[in-house]
Amino acid sequence: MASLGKNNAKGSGKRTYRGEPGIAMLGATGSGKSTFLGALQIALLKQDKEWRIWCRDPASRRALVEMNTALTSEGKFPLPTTGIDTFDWILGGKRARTERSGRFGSRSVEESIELTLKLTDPTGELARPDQIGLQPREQLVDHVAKSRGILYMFDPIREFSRGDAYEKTYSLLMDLIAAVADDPDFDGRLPHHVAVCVTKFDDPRVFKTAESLRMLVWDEHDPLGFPQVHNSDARSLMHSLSKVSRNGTGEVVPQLLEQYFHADRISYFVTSAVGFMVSKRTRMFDVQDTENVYRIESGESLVRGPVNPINVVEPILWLVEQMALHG
Amino acid sequence: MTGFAEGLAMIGAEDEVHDALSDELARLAGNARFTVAEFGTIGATIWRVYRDENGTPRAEQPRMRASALKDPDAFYREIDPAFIVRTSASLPDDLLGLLPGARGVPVYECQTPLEDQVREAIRDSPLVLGYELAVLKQVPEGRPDAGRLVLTGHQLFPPGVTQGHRAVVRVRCEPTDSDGTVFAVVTRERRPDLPPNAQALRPVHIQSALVPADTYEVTAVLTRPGRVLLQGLPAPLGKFAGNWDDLRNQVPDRLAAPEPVHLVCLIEVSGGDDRLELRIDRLSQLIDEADKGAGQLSVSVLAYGPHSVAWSVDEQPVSVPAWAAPSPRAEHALRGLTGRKADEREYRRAAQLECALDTVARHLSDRDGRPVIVVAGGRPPHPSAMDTRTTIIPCPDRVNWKWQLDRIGAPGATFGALRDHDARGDVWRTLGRDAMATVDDPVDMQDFAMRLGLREAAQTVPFPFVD
Repeated sequence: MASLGKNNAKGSGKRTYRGEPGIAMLGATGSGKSTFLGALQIALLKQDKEWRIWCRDPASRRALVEMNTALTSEGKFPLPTTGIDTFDWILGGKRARTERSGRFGSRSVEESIELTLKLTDPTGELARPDQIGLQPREQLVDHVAKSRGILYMFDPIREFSRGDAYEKTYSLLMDLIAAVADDPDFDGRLPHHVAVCVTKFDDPRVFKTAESLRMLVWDEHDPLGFPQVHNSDARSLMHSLSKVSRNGTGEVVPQLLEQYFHADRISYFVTSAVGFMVSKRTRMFDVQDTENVYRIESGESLVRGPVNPINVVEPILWLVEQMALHG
Repeated sequence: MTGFAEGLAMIGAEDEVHDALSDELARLAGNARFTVAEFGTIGATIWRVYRDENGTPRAEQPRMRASALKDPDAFYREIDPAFIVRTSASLPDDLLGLLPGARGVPVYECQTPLEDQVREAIRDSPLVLGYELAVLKQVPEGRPDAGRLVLTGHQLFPPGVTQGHRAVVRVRCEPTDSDGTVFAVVTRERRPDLPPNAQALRPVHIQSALVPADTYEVTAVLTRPGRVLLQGLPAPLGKFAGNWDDLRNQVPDRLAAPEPVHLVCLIEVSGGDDRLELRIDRLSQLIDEADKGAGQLSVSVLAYGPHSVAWSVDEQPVSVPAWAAPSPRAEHALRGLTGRKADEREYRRAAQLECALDTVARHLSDRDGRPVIVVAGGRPPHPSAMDTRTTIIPCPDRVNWKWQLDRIGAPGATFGALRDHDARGDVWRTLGRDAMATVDDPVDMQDFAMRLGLREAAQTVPFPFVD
């Protein structure tokens, strides 16, 4: 399993973390895993903090550039992954850390962080129960088991139309448990930190559900007028969205995750890789027209307006933070 | 007349028979009649010729007692033929006994059957009564009853003319009911004691056609007595099955002002060239049908496609290539919509139907006539607000198609839909509430137009006018 090491101090009050935290992405086909990665670069650009992403190896670099360019320049979505794509993306930035000073004092230290994200983006097909025992599935389980963080993409629209999240998650968890059960530190639960991303916030059905639950929070300083769902409400929203799961099992997915992972290592985020539609006329968010994706005659989905990712960086930074905290 | 000698070949006397028949027809007047007989190998055939009330010669085979064909005295007393045509050299014995001998009845020997010769003689005979076209005229201004309609005749052929004679008459057809305009050739009752306009008109033959209200130059050709060919109408004439007296009673006292009708065609230009062509063809057919019915028809054409839902695609607003225009101009504008270049990035789930209806609602005016709204398309309109059921992207102008329909649906407005076969839902049911058809299937456009009230005239005006 990749680990986040501490080394290479750079000057007074500054330390640099280097490590390979290994974040695997799980989610059904079409749940937005690749799009999420494609939006990461633009998401980093649009936030205040000085985070940046880059790559050393050519394959990861090509994937990063292609995913980002397709989404931002052409309004196209990355092609769905057909096997298991692994990218070594290096996330660099600064974080504030509180450090003890003297016997009773403490001081804030700004530290540079540079860590390699071993991002595993498998095809959603590998999560199907009928893949158990097959080589690609074993490879996926191995990748996820070695990762320390998991980005779990929950697609409420797919759950509404297909309702297979429970089935796929359950079978994968069984494989993961089996893979780590012999680990001396195994305490009956999986050790990963899990960022659950409730995707497609811009879809009218997701947005309206959040609105009807009075979960929308409006930041008057947001230049585009985007609303948000606070992370503390994200689990409830996921639960509500899962109630209309096609086969009725979706609503127990949070309990399933909390049963096999440490509940305090799970956090929920309501996300949209492309963000809300911004009106071309007003250049602002329009509460009656939120969806930033549409389908054309060929069947291909395109982005309607500018890409303004919602909660794309945050789950990754949360995972990084958690992994740093937990050594 | 030729002599007959046994053993000699028959010598044709067709010209003599034709002349004899023509002479008899020329002498035939009033209720008089004459008979002619043909003696042939199969026996005797008797033809009785008379004139009907129009003076048209008619020929019939009368029922004869069998004894009259066996006894020469009875034959010449009861049948009294004007002449006999012998079409066979060898006759049965009983017919040989019926030959006139010294009775003085001419016998012509020829090969052409008598029936053919009678038919030809009638065809070539001159008219004994003038033929007229039944028309309506308005009592001129300044006279008592000015404006009242009068059924009268307009002369086509005077007495004495023969087949092949032509006459040209300019008629004006007013909008009428679905039975169309009646073109009746008539004669006048021979009542010298009455002024011509009081003489009853008697139909020679009656035909009708569904023709658009317009003025036509009709050429009448006499093909034979009793038969007139009328040329120059835009629709074929058919036999009229109704009753002459009923027709006369349908003539209104006066012409009502024709109801102006405004046919508004909304056409979706998205969905591919083939589909667009089909929609254009159907609407074009509808305009043609509307032209045949309504008095004052104006036609508008509005073209609409998908809204731009993406920043990268330019919005193409609803266009109005023709508004309240004469139908030829509107049809021309409709044809001009072909060849649209579609943007492959355009939205496919809806079209600007709601904005097209909004445009109609803003442009409609009472002075253009009763609105008839017909939509040819397939995609649904954009909703006015976020719609989580369909998830169709809302109209950028937040136009509500139902509100626009309410605005348009003034009393008397009718709605028709020429929809794609897969177009379903509330909107198409509402748009097609008076007439609905799918563009992919053959459309009975006459029926479609009728259901929209496009073929309804203000009144029944059964005959054409001569001004």
